[in-house]
Amino acid sequence: MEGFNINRRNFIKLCTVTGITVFAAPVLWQKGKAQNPETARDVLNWRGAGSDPAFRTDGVAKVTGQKIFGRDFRARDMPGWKPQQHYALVLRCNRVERRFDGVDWTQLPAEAQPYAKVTAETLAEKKLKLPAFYGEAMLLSEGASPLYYGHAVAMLLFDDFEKYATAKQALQFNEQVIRYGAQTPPVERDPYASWRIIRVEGPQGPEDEDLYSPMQDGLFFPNYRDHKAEWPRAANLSGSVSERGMYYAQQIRATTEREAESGNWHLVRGEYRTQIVDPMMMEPEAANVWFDGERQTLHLVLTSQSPQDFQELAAHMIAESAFAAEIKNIVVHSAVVGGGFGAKDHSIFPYYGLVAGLFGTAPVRLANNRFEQFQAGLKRHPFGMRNTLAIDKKNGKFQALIAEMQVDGGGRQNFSASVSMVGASAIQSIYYLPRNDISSVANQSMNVDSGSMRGYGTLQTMTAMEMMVNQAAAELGIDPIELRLRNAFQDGWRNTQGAVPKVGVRYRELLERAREHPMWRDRMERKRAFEQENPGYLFGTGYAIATKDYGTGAAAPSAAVQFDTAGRLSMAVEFMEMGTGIGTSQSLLLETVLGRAADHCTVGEVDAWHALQQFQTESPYTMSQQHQDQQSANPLWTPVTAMASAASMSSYFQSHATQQAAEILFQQGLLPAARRLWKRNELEDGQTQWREGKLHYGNLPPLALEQLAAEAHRNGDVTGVMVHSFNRWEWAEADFELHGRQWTGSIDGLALRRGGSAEKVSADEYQVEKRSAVRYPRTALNNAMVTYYAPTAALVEVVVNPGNGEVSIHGLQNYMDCGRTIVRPLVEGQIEGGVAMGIGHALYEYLPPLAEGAGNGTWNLNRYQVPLAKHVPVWNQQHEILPPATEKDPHKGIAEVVMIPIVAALAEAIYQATGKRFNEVPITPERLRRALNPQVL
Amino acid sequence: MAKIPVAMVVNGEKVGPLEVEEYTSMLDFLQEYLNLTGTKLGCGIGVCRSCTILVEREDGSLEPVRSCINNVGRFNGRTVTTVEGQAEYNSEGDIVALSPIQQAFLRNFSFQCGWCTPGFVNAATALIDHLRREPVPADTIEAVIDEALGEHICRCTGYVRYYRAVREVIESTPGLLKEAD
Repeated sequence: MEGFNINRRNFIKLCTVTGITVFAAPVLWQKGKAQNPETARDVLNWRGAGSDPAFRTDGVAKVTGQKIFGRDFRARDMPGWKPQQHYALVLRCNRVERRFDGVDWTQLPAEAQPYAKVTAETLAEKKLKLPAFYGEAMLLSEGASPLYYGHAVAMLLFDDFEKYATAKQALQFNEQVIRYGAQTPPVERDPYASWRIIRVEGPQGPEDEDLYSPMQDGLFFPNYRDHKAEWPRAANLSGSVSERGMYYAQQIRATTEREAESGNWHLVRGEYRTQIVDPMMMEPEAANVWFDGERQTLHLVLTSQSPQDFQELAAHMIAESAFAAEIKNIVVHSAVVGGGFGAKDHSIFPYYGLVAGLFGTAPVRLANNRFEQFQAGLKRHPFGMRNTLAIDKKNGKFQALIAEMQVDGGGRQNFSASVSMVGASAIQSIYYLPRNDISSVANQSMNVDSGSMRGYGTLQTMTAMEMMVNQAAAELGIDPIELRLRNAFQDGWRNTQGAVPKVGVRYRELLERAREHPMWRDRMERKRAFEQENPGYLFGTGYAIATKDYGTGAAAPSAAVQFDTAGRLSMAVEFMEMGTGIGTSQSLLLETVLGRAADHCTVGEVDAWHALQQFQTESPYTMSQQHQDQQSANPLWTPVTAMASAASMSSYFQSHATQQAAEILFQQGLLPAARRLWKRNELEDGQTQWREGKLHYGNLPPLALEQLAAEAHRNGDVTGVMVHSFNRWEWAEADFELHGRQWTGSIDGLALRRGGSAEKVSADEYQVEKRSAVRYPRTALNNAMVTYYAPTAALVEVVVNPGNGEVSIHGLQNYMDCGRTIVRPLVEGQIEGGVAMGIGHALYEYLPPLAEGAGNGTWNLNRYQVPLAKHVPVWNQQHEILPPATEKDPHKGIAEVVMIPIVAALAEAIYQATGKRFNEVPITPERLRRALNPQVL
Repeated sequence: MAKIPVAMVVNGEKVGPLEVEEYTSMLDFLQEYLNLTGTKLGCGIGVCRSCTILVEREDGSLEPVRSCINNVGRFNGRTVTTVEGQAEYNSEGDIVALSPIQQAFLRNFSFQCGWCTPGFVNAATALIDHLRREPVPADTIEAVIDEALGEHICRCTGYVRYYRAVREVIESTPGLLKEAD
């Protein structure tokens, strides 16, 4: 299956790195002025008395300016490091059409000379190459043409800050520094990946077997000619996967044309386009790297949400280089915050930091300023889509969707293959489609590379879908919410891939709530009244809904929970803080199971999981069922050992592992202690209850956690539980022998602590418990692509000033189904933040492609407009979080979905106000002004 | 390169005199010379306000100043407060009390990643200080907050909880508001 080398894990098998040991240092939580921010947190009582905590557990550190970001750490902050801080800068091309003819070093001021200049030649000499995931030419060779705007050509190292700062002033924006030679033809390469999702519903309807679908039949891929995707031509109903697929694709297209011509189906056809967006995460990327030659150790402090992957790839990179003989250990130091809302997943940046460190004679700091971050940081993929939605005129039911997507991945592949796949599989949004032919091609270009960013392809494609639905409603004369209700997906139905989503979908409820809202119900009257009171201004109301998949199809969260003799709960989770407050939410999850929230929670734990002794072999996305079956026999094998963090992943996936660990700890540690203290041989299942920190059972005297913990420690019971779990759209399940009884749980790795004294979770106190059997989700589920969803809807009123094209938001009502909330104010913060980011995507944020774009090094916030408070309805936005349907509802991942519906809702509101329909974002004031005043330049 | 001597009071402690390049920004001075990294670089060109610090005026009032676009020389002889200087600490360096603004941001869950927080803390603190000296009519509170914080950029929480927290502090602190004229 070509194109499937996209996952976050497929380099593991390459990573048997002889002689280099990778260590993950404890997460950096440097004491700044405050000796211990946790003390303040506890003194101020973060937990509070209500159902929600009084504040987030990392809040004191953040509000007092402690060092908690990777960028904060200097050499002198790092225990055992040489305290001198050196500095590095990277020189990058701002054009691509000419050969790179070397650097004019005379541009460097005499008093600001670097002590090392690293070029492509230096890298070649030292056999240093980027991991394959990132492509080639880490630094461009002299005489070669840049592959993309912003291609790096050299790194300079300085032994003090003043020299560095002086050199940077002299070199940044200096057109003379990089010499360009003869004109060269543009670099063209094959697309990074192509996908095609064809499905035709079977005669028994949406719940039954499909005539054809990726889930049922598998995937097929195109050939590339002249760097363009060419899909197979042969179509045959009884042929191969591709021949049958092409047969049905042709049938869908022919049926659509025929039914449209005969007047039965209405077609909405259009081209939809999204822009290049910079994540503009507030912390620009940085690295601080020390090559301690004496101890043959390379230390790295990173700003990354995927340090696990970096460690392995970095070890591999060094093992193949001339530094292999000089480095025996790699120590990766991660900060508490992996990234605000994302955008630091598998960035190439840390590798430049690594290289700078290798050539440094003291710790080297490489830190992007904002211009550099715009020039070289990952972007959101722009999508160009040619879409057709076919609707049956007599009942308003969607009949077919045909979508052709071109995705610009930029100059390096990164996650382009994956994003284009996810975008394609998400376009159906909340709707049921009996027929679909969706293709998506991730192209190489000379733009700055795009990667994993909030929305991950779905923002782009679902926005287009919502625009089509709103247009269809207007053209068919059906109320837009009514049209959605007629087409809303229902539990048990098949999605465009032929898979059945696992999580209950409550689209109808979301739709019906909006339909009853005065903003919607009275929209015509409100428009009339507003425009009458405010002559010259235009008023409009728009609605849109979206449902975002979450998960990767290979989620592998770990968690550990333990108590000390005094009943203090300490835990560790693998996920890093992404701004969403994972330390707070995971701490709180213990309350229902163990009677109180965690007293300490280590986020981004990497080291402790070694106690599980697990290993992985092939990519979980491409391994065969046979491989999985064979490997499963080894009780220490798992499809994936560790995973990258993502803002939308913690609430569902990490919570699962945390809850499993807590439940096992309760069963194996606290209940045996309770039985002894209560002198009962058996306690009826589910009849114990925590109330006010004490465990109750019938009329027996309640037991405090302190008593139970002391008893468990005294008796040598289980005092800590560490689990690893695996999810491929279903959880793996395994059997274990615990205290002579079989225990089955949704985990695939387990280690237990008995006794123990370490304050925080530590690998050496845990002993692995090997499973006796395991049941992994079938590998065929990889074809399902996604099956977990969380929906959000937005109802928005806008006021347009036709003179200058400015759009102001008059009212905004959000609806969300996030299952069970863990910490409500954290969810609300996600909603409000998502709204602002969606407004930015819809109305303001824009980077032009190629020479005028971010790769030219001149972009910053003076030109790149992100939403300010004045662009956001700060005082008058409302949201409604649906109460969970049942007590068993999952904690759904919602960090990405909120920003999606607001985009299409705004486009529709603008249409309702002005009569101008936009299929392309952003709808900037300037674009709108021109559309409304075509006669004025 | 020309060096200048700089001396000032930062978070209650005397700093300098130190010889630094005259073009050194206050942000770089705080971070690279004093290792005070609570003040954050966002854009480096004075747009996003992450780097806002407080400088005491002659009358003791507080002025929010962008440290990324002002050179260190401008602060010579001045009294400066950064986010690290807002809370109260005991002799062992432990935090014993937060400022009202810090508390309000904390209890309103105003921030997520926290990068923009130091700038918001300082600008909001300056606003409270200003209102203490010059109360405003209660019905102008939203405009007053927007005037003080409207240029600050936050990418996580959409400003709602920052604004709400500042409003709470203004409304609950006696003497900051006056009845509408």
